[in-house]
Amino acid sequence: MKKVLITLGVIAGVVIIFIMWANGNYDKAIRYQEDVNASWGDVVAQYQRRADLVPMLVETVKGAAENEMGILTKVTQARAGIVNAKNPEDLELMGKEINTAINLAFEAYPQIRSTQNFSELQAQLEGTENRISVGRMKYNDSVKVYNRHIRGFFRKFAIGIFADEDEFPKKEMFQAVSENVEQAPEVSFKK
Amino acid sequence: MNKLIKIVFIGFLSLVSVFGYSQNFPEKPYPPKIVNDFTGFLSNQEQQALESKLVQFSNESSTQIAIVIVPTLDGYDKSQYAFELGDKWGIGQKGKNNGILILVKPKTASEKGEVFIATGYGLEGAVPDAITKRIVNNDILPFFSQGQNYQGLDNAVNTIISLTKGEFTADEYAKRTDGPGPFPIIIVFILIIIISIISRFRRARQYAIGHNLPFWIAMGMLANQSRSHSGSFGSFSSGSGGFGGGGGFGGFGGGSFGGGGAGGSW
Repeated sequence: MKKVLITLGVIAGVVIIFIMWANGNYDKAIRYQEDVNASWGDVVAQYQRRADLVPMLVETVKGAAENEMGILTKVTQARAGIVNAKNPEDLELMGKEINTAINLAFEAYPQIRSTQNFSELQAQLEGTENRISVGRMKYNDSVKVYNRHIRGFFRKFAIGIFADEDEFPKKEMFQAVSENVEQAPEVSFKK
Repeated sequence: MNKLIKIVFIGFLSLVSVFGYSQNFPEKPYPPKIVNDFTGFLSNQEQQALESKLVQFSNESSTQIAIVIVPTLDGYDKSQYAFELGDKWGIGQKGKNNGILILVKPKTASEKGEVFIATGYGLEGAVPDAITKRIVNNDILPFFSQGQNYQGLDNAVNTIISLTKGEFTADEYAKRTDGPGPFPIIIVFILIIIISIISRFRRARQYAIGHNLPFWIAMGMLANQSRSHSGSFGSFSSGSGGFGGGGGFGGFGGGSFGGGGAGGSW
């Protein structure tokens, strides 16, 4: 009799400990997902910032070329695309659009290089590029932590006790820059 | 089979990226220093001069302007190196992210010299990228190219100090709870208190034995007595305040970097 009670007690203890552990993992999954969302927001903001530089660029040497409208339309579309982007691939595509627009602006106004503002504009363009790459890195880091957490065999089961189905989908990362370097339009300042 | 290869490949890649991530960066200095020259780019006196200026500014404003001079960038882009090192060391205060890192890789026979000023998230408003670019081009590079290393850095530091003055206040520094800085001080403090209590007990016991008094009373008497020369204790505590506040550098506070800043080469 006593033995049975002890066994039951041990089982109950194990179950309770498991549930507490599972609950902790569920909470952690939520936190990691929030981190991923936050860093995603940061990357999106940096892409937008880059998009917002293009009208400034066009403004710098105003009214010279006929494709001014074309450039601005392109950027406006890309900016809308950034807001609606759901995964890194979409975002990168829009990033390329923006770079294309920047290049078009440079081509349309070759004299921009001789303007006073150019050096600072260049610093700003480089700055957004740096911010985007840091944002991508931090996003990838947060996704790495999150994906590892939700995909562990026991943890997956444990989180499943509390989570709705598809509450914690696996997230995609940004690919390393070197892999798609040939398609990415580079902004070149040299002439 | 295909999947296996993929898994092995990904595993290998992640291993490479893990090693690549942190292995190449110098460790955070201990005891903490705000000016870190790993190359002999500056003389000892010059390092001292910058160190005391920057520590003083850090204590006044909580803004941390760190100077790091490394022999090689290990194949990194200078901006990338600066952001990752700044994040790793945690330059600036946590939550304020008011750190600035001036990264220098000196010119060698075969390689160009590189300099990059990285601004923490919290200072991107006070020191925009265009301004860091201007600091690099006007304050630093003309002097570095003439070998006036200290002058270049001192100019840059002065400009940055004047730009960031008033952005943050020192009480944020004092309220800081994170970071390794205050811990040794607290431990030392606790130790001193424990030792003084123990020694007081001892003295009380000896006093009690010597004067045929109960231990209690001796304890009470000694407590009064020590109050009368509390001046010495007070002066001690202000001394230790100097250790945390005025004299030494308390350590980096956990600030983080988002990609602001600009650089140049010579």
